[in-house]
Amino acid sequence: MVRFFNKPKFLIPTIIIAILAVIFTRQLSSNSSSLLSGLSFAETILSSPTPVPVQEVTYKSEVYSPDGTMKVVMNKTSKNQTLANYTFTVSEVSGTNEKIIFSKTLGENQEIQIPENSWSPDNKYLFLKENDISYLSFMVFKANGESFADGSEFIDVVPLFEEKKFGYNLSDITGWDSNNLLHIFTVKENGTKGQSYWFDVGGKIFYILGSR
Amino acid sequence: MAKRRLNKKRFPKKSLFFLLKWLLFSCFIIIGLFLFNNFFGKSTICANSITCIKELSGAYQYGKESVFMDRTVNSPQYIADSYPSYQVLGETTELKHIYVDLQRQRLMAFEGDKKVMEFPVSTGKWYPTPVGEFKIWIKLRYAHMAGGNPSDGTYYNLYNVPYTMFYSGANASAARGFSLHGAYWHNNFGYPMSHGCVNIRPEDAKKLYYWAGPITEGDTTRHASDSNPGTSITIFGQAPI
Repeated sequence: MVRFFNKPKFLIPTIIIAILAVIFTRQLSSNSSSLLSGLSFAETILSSPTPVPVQEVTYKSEVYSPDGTMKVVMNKTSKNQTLANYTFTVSEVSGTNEKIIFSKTLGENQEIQIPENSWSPDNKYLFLKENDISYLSFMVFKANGESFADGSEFIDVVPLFEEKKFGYNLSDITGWDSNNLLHIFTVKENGTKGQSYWFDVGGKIFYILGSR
Repeated sequence: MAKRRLNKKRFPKKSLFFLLKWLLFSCFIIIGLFLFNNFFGKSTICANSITCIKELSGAYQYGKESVFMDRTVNSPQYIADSYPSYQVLGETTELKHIYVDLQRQRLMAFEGDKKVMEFPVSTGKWYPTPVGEFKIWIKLRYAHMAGGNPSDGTYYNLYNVPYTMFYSGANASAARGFSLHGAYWHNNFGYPMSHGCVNIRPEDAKKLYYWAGPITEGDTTRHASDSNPGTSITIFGQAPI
């Protein structure tokens, strides 16, 4: 057997067959249609390891106010998919009068979104949603970038709701029923639909709704 | 004499008859009012507007305070802005059709097979939006809508409802006042929020208004006609509870 591999005329075809086998196995396992990707994979495993450069990925999303005059923009910059920096700006649709209203760095499995109904009907407030597997937060901001009367940058609705001990868990905020009333959905402990509420942003008051 | 007085006390026939007569008369009045309200009142009831059939000028009304769910709300300044300086979508020879999916709370606009618009809407919460086939019979740049019940907090009296497209069909006559229209008083689209109409974000409503038939130029109110027909609407599905 050793004598067999010592002969160069057998060794070279054997190596070629081995490389082709690796490519073929890779093709089958990844279900990839490209032979090129298999070749590059073979090159990777055959070449010596090199340091992987830090990859920075930028993602942008924006939501317009219902009247189409204002927009909130999210810029998400993530590095190697472990940490992501979120920056939210508010401006007129043309991009003028831009203000940063919020910035935060989050780990993987955490994210902040701009809900579709983020803007209050009068464009004075907007809310953002932050969540991961076990955490949920709805942050209400003043659209002009100013702080609230108590000096806070935003109102976090979930802790205020939990303080009231209504016996339901806040599951979603769907949008604005009027200029300062957020519409809250809840669930019972068993996961079924619970009572719906309004949250008055001005007075930080919750109102029970008769219907969902 | 004493016997006659005793008889009078025992049988106050005249008083009793008088009382019965008044009771009967009162009953007639009550029944009459009830019937009047039912027949004549119903003829002017609109799902979303008690005044929609009377006032079709489409004009903006200044200095009016609106009410929605027991809260005062004023129509914002941008609602008063006039005809946009751009045409939203060019004219097409393809057949236009609007679909409203109650389950998904979304509106889709088609030109032939091509979808040209899709956005979230809010349909009936306190009164169901009827399903079926409809056609736009008039478009009003502004409308006044009122209705609901103050006792259960559903009363509304909304001025300058923008980009109103009243529609009718077999399942809802024109007199019922169902329409597609902009809603400046809430931003909870994608969830039922109306008294039967189809609420649309003002910006989306503007695009739909200037796209849909009867074709409108400027802010002029347009009735549908044979030469300028209203766009067909199909409303289907069941709104989430």
